[in-house]
Amino acid sequence: MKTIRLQNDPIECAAALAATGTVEDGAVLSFTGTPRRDSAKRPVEHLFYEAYEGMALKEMDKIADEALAAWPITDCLIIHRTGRVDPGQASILIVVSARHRDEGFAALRFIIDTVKKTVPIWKKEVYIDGSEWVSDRV
Amino acid sequence: MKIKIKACASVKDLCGFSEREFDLPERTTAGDAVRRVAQECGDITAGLDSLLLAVNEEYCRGDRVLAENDVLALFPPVSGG
Repeated sequence: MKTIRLQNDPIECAAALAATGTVEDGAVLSFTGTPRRDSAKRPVEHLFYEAYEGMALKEMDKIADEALAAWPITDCLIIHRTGRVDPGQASILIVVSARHRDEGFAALRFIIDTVKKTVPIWKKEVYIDGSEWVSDRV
Repeated sequence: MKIKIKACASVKDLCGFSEREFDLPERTTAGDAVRRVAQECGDITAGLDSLLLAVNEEYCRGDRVLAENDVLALFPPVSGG
């Protein structure tokens, strides 16, 4: 099963984890990305995520398909927030399930690394006295 | 021919629009279209290592030839996650 979503609302991580995996799976693995309070030169009040939504969903879907083809995983869930995300909240949740943990870990690592390279989503750090787009280097 | 240019994140701030229609000659490439936007809006890659391009929601290079009603997106290196 494949779940791909962009959403403004907070991610219900526990519910997503509970809904992923089958009785054939021996491992359900997750990655949660959270904004850091001190990621820049000054304290971050919150982050703002902008997505090119149609293309972002397509790219996330491609990544999930590649992971499902490359490793024997059964479920793959990728949810990314848009809009305001406060430090400590989940900005992204990835969950995969697999019969064995090794392939699950490998797939999870591939998914987050590829999301950060190809999915058209950008974060802006918002400070008490201004804001700045964060542009990861390619 | 009419094409739609979409600008995202910091490139949107530099362009001053998020989406605008342009009337461009037949056989215009994505790179030509970027130069046309820069003529009107100034340096739209200020502070960026690179400008990424997509046509109809698929990544492309500057030599991609555009067609009527294409949507060309211009954006900075991604920073999600």
